Amino acid sequence: MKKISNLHFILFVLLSVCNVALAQQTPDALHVKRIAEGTELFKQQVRGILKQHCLNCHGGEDIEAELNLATRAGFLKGGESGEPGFVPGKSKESFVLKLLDHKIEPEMPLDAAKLSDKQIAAVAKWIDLEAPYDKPLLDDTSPQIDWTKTEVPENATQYWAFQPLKPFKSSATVDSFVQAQQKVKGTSLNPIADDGVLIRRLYLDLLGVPPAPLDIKQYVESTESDKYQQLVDRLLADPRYGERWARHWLDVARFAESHGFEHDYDRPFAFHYRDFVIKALNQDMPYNQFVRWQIAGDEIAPNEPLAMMATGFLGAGVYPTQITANEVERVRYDALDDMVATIGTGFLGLTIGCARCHDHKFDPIPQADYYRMVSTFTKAVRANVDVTIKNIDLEELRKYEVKQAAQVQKIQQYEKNQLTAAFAKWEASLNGKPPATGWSDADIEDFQSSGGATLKKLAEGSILASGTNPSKDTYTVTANTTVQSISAIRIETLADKSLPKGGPGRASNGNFALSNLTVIAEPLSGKGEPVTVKFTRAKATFDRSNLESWKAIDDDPKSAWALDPHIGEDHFALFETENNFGFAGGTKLRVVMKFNNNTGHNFGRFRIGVTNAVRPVELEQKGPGAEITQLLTIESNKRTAAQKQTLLKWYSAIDEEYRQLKQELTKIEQGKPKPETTQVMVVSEGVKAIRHHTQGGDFLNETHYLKRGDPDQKVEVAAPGLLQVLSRHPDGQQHWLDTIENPGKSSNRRQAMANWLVDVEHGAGHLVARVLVNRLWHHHLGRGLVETPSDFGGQGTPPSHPDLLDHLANRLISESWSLKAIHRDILNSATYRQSSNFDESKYQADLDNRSLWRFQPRRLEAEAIRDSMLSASGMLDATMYGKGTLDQNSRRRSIYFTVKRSKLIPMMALFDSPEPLGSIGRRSATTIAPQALAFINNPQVRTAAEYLATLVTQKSDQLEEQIKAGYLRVTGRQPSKQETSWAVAFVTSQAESYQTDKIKNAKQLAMGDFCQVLFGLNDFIYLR
Amino acid sequence: MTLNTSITRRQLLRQCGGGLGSIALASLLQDQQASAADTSANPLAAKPSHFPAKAKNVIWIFINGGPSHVDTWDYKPALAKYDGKPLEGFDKKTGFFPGSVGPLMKSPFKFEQHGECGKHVSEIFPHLSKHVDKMAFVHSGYTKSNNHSPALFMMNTGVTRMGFPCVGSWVTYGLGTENSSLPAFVVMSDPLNRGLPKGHASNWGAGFLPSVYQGTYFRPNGAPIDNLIRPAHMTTDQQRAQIDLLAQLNKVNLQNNPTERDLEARIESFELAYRMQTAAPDALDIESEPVHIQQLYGVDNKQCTHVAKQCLTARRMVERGVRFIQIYSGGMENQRSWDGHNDIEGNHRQFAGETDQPVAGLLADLDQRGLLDETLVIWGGEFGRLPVAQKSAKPGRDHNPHAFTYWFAGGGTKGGVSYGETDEIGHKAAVNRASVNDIHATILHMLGLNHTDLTYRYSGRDFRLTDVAGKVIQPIIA
Repeated sequence: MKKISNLHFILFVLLSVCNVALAQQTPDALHVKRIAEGTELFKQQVRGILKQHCLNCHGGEDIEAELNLATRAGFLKGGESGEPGFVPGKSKESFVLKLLDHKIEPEMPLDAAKLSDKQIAAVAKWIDLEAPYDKPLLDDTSPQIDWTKTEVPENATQYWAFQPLKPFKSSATVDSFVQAQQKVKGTSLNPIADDGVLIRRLYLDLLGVPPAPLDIKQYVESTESDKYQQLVDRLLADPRYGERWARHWLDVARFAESHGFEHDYDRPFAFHYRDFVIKALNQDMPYNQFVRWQIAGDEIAPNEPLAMMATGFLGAGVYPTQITANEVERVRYDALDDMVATIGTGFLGLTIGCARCHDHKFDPIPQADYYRMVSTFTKAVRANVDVTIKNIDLEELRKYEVKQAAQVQKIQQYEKNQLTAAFAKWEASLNGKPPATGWSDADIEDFQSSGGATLKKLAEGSILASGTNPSKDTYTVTANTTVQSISAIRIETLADKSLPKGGPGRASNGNFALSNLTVIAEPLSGKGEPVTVKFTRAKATFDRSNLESWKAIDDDPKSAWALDPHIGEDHFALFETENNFGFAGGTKLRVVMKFNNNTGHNFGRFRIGVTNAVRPVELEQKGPGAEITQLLTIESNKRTAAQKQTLLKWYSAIDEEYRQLKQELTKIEQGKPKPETTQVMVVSEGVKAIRHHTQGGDFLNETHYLKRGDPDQKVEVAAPGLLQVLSRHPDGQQHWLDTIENPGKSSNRRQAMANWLVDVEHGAGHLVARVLVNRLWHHHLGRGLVETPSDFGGQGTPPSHPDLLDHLANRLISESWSLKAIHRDILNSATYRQSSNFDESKYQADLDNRSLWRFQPRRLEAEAIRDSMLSASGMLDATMYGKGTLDQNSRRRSIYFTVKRSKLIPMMALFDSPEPLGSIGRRSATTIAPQALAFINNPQVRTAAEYLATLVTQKSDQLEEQIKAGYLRVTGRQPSKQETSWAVAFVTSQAESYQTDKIKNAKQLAMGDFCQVLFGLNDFIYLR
Repeated sequence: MTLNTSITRRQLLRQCGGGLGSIALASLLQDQQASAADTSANPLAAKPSHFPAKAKNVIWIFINGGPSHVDTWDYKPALAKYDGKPLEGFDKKTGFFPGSVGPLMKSPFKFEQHGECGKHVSEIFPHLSKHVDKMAFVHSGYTKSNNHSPALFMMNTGVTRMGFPCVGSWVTYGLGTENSSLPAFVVMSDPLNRGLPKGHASNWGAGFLPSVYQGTYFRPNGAPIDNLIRPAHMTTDQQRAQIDLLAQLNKVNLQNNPTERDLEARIESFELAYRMQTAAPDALDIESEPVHIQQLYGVDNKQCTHVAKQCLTARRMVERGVRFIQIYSGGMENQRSWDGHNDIEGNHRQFAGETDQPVAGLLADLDQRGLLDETLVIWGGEFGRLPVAQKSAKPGRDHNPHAFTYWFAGGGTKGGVSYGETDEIGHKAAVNRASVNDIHATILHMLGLNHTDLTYRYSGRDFRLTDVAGKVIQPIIA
């Protein structure tokens, strides 16, 4: 350090003090002396006190309450309380001193012993001496610790979860590990449970629905020695397995189908992610692939629909839909945090999100690692993209090409051989008159209003309505025309002073809403069949979004064509027909116009017209035009070849046969085999992000290290990276960034992270495997070997059976990451198959059942409860996949409920289905009165009970048999004699009671009441 | 509203109305006192506070949309002086509409002094102004967002993001409830079809706390909560018979598995459910109140009938031991709530008119029944409004995250005091600034809960309502 003389030093202190507090004063000798004394006191005592007791939170690692004591200026300024930290020369009035002296709250140092009186006195005296610093508490000349480069100490990997898996012993089994520990605890496994208990346990655990009575019968009666293993295999192959277990993963993935926040807009194509999870589980997708696809499926396998769908994982979190300019950055960092935090807890069992504002307090995750992880997702955005789910069938394409070529040939033949003759015939039919042009009004003959409005024909041929204006009306009009080959009908809506706001509608605002238009054409002569005119296209002089003219000819009887805000103006709509029509002797049109969309929105004044114009019919129809009209006046034999060609070209458009040939070609071409695509919500780079109401962009071009997690305190751009503590390659984190396959146009940062996650050699693979097998164990046995399935860090619970955990993780890796292999290992163990019976002596030895001396009974989850009710009552609709529903009366499995964050299905929430806001690895299982209310009063529960009642009464006339059948369907067991007799007594007396009250179906209702009781049984919602 | 194994036999008998089945249960439960701490079976049992406190219940009138402090309780005569002058150096991004920033604007309302404390109150509160000596004002609030839903989340959960537990959830988590036949935490929203506050149910969500702690939303019309209505074909007796059979059968199951407490908790939950069918409608039966009480709240005053009924319901709930009640004044945004972007005068006159008499009636009624001492009444929204005008045919005011006013009454607050100050024009909190964390710490403190000790372990961390901040605003506490 550079030496400075005492005088210089004092001057420096003085100047700095003056700058801050004493700007107006001239330093005098006394003052200089006081400063020198204060500085000495600071160096001798105060600096040490501040550094030891205060600096860590106020200027060192953190700046709590915005108070920074590192410099005098910061100390003087004070923190967020608004008070200055001290008043120079007046210790008694100084805020910080009051805190240190415990005169006001929060007492300082926080959560630590009060400073000694001597120490407080020293600080007080120093403040009385103007509180000079000789230099800032954080020595600027010492090398600055750059937190963005923090390295994890080598011994950090000593923690059990970061250790490699213990060597694999193929001879070991689940039971051998469990029993080894039981020996120590003085407990032992319970006997294997009864067949009836086991089949129910397996069904509910693996499929989430109870076994049917026949399944139970066959299983119990089977004498095959491996019937249990066979059952396990059969259920693992059952597609309902995917539906059951996908729900477990969806909790971890905080899956939902809406954005949340203020508007909670839907994500209509997010359900594909749910289907991906179900399919992946059913096909036993290797878990390492399952992980990689969810993080980077778009980079790894962009042509695999499931890989694209898998990326929905990243985008399942909440995202605001209204973002002010001030919030753009924070909101984006929140979204990135959601991705990183969910990957942390979901795959790694690590609470990486804790390192957003500071180094992780308990785990070796520096804040720097967090921002490098965040950087991985810098350009990843949520988007709806078309995903090809089926490619073109080449054989079909060939067939198409043949057909299309044949039609083209037909048209060419017609042009060559017949068109000229047809034209000549048409020209002859004109008898020298010019051809029809533009629109011609049809002559309205008859008109009626079904709602009793007064309709009157005006001189110029339009119809004006007056009198009653019914809420909904239908006008039926007949109109005559001599025009043939009619290609479109026109409805004019005309303003009129007699109408509200000048019309043309009769609604109070002058609007109308034509909801439906139908036309039947019949020959004026009366000879010939009437034809219903089919419309294919509509266009109006004003087509307003959602109220376009085509809404009058669509299938929806309510949607309509309306005019608002073009009130008081003449307008019209044309309706193009599928085929030209019109009878030789003139045509009578029966026109029916319905007004069902809005109250009193009926036509006020209207007129009907037709045209035989060339398709597509345009609003302005000016006939054949001057050139054609001119050419037609030339005698046919005097026309030049070019003129003939022009005429023929024009005529071909109105030649009916030619038109049909062309139409046929269009039809064929529409049938050209196309790849089948579907819209999917993915997360990817370089795609069109789903836009929100935002005053900024969709993502930030680069992401920074943020001091204290604050976007206003950017340090520098963070390069992508991974957790140091789980990166064991000599090249460090760069290894995974360098080794990616299939480098498309994406940055491939996510692919690198995905590869690192499942890399068992040098990456996080061992931990990822541990976390996964623990999740499986958690769901099978009701409690994980690590009780905190999403936290394997220092704040989590250490594993109860560390060797078993490593054994299963080893098995997962050696079985090519097959989940079903691990399911089998667990399910076929005696540990899983043992009974849940209570045993006093074992209980005393191990109150908490950590040694697994019995199968721990547990309550079913919300979905399993509801699905079981639907299944037991025979109501279940087994349709798999696709769009979900919010309809609580749906009979599909609960996993197909749309997860809309603002409209969570009450029945699901009631039984502890978590809010999809953050990753959840373990649900709570509460017992509260509203659940009981649902069992006694909920309409869906009642409906299921009545279905079940019908089912059991159809099977037998005997009340006892009915009761037994109900018991078996709902609880998987036969009732005891006592239970049966109580039930019989209840149903009988309940039926009598209804009969007394003269209620119909008394017996059926009473049986329904009983079936409802069955759903309320503990035997129903507890798995044992 | 859930099983409460710690209730005494006497309480149980009183609540059950003496059903025979229940007496047997009572003795059964008596033996299980020791298990009261088992929160998986009994998460809402009443729990002792950290230290003795006066407030037992909370009624929070949430002034949704962001009330303008300078037009209500924070009297700023300087605004009249500067009326029409631009605010130099103003960051146009402070509010929501950077393009509509107008000059400083005086309050359209007259302020007069009231009560012994001489508090200046806007003319839009003719009833509430009579109660200023019961109120403790915090004028120096500030928050972290200028946008409704993050600011609502901030005010309700202490975090601008979605997914954190709200104050009511923390309180019921910390204290449980005294009445198991009613929800512990009830939320009422605007009954005039003007929508829910932005962010919907997340404003009363339990976040990562168990879902039993989430607010129970009472629907403004029809049955207030799900599944309260018996199947149509049944009488009470017929349902009783059904529940008796269920209890009989479930007790067999319990006998076979005597150590599993969840099973008996579940048996009792059906008895509670049965009682809730009458307890909930009873709490809402304001028709049974004497006419003069209804009139006190303004039930007969068309402009405020809806809020009057909610405030009266809130008092009936407090009497029945409901722990935490939140009433939202106004619906979503703009003219549907206190969000006076346009015509601040018309907007605030309207919404003040809807709430003034009912809330004043509530204070008076709680007071005359001796309930105000143990009930903390809170008035405030998600942020304040700017001292500058938002340009419009009739000028409004835009969002202001830098300053807002809250007042507290009852529950051990000092009456007639004011804490903190905004700057001369009410733009920013200036003296004794109070963060949202501070306000939360204070509310918990009033209920006898130490905000630093009320924690929940989630995702590897002990979370608090006040995160790592918050200090109790002592000067407003008696």
